[in-house]
Amino acid sequence: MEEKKSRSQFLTVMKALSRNKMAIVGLIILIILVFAGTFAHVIAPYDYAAQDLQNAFQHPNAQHLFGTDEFGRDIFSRIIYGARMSLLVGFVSVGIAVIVGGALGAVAGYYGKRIDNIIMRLMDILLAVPQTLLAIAIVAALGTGLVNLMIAVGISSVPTYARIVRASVLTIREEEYIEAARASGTSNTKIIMKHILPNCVAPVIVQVTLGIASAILTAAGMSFIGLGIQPPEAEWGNMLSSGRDYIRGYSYMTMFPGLAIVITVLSLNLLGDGLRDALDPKLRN
Amino acid sequence: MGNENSSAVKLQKTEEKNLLDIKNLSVTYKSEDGLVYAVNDLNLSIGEQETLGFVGETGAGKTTTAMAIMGLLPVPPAKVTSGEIYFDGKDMLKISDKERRSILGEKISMIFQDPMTSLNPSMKVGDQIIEMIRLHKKVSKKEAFEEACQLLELVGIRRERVNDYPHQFSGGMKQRVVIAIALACRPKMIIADEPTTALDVTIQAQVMNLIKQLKEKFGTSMILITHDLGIVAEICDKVAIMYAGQVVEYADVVKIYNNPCHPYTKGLFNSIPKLDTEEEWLEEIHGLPPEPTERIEGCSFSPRCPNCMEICKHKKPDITYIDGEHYTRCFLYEKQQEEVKDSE
Repeated sequence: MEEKKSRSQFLTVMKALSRNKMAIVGLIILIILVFAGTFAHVIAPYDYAAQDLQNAFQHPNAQHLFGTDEFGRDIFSRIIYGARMSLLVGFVSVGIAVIVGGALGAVAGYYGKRIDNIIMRLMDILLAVPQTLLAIAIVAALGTGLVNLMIAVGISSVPTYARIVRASVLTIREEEYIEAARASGTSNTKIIMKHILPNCVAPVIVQVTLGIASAILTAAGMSFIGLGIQPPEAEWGNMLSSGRDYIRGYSYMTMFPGLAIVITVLSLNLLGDGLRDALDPKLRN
Repeated sequence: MGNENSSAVKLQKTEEKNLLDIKNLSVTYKSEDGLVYAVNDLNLSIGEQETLGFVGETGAGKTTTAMAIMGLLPVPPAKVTSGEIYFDGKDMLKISDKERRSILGEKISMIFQDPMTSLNPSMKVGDQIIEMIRLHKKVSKKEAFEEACQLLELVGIRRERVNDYPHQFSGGMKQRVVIAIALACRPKMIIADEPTTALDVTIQAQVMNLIKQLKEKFGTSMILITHDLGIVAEICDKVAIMYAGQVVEYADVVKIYNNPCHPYTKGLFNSIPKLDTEEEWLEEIHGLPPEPTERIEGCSFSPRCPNCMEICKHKKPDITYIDGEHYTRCFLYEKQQEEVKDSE
């Protein structure tokens, strides 16, 4: 019993999560993807940009697991390198969004009044523009490339995080322990950093997992229309784009990157849903 | 008063010096139904090492007064419309935020009503004590940790539990942690806002005894906000009875129990069951406290007062001293005193 009592919050959540089979499937797929992305240079049998024109348009076979594309590049290797790209874009852009949006939301929620009004109306304006369209506009202004893509996707999802953080700050700042912190002479910045933000992590974690999924989708979409990562760099979106000309005869060229996107997004969504249930104390047990 | 400190003989009289002086404090809240008069022209003082019981019904302005002392009223809607609050010689209403932050926690600290919600659920209790220590004292993390452990032991919690989270403690234990945090910097004054209301009756006595013990050990003054007259009798030196934002009676704890003067105080005592007499029904105070948005022309207790006179409905009673420091705001006594003066 004593052991059970001293269990940390992380373990409690993990245990609740482990009861949700779909979430665990999602988590396992995600771990595999992260692993594949991180060690892409070791796992991939070929270089992602190595052309082999003699072996172009090969259907999946023993040598090329997923076949080759119009330049004879190994699609399996490109998918693995693509995982690195997609996850990098997903995590970094959501990271940008969480930091910027979280800071804005925390300030808006904690100080309220005019500051809140100014920040949230700005967020409303950003929200009025569809996310993809906003990202396109930002890339059009900054130019294409990996870094700009991450910035574009990040900025376009800032309002979501600002709203979520603000909403939780609004409820948490009324708690008695915030009053107690104020009564012991804690400064506002410290109250926000140490007492408020750690207590609104739960909804943010859920949104982050779901957000990474949508960031990957947006990034793939951007690359598909040629505004994201440029060939010969391997990215699922631009692989889809270059494969679409051959979709009738060589459908595997679009099928595999498409499947990769679907599986990644699905696993993130499953995990996100599971986390939402696991982090909600009312749904536990 | 100024030359008192000059002579060593009179130094013992520093007891007379008040730690906290509240003068003519008025606080209003802006609400949709108009202004709420939460505290009206309140005067109060507390000496060093003194315990003041602050008794009154819900909405009498007890907590508002406490918050005003700490400068933590939510402005707006709250507004201090008049008055001064001197703590340790400084006007708490005029000092800068930075200065206030250095006083709060170090010289004044607060014990909140509900220990379930007054601890941060995502921080280890030890870290919460350490935070308080390191906010006001320049000590290393290690020293602060050691001190946190000692504080926990002081309030009767094993030091191994320093790394536990609040949800692993029971209500009474949490309140002990809250007390440890409040005492971390050895403050000069503690404001305890109904510290035992949210606890089980069996735990209440334990926690109250702990507070009393530690208060005496550290020589801390205390304002105890409560509606439990039993607790007041047990640990307070002075009692202030609050009604509709005003102190209607103030006295030594013994005097107020032996000789309650204001009809409201009498009503409060009558509504407690007595051990020595058998009563079928407890006497209640009829009616409800006044709507805080309306301002009663005369004495605010007059609509409920069994002894209400004509003058009570038109004029606000002033302070009448009964015996030494013991005073009340009631015309019954004002008249008596006038008669005494006349006969002299």
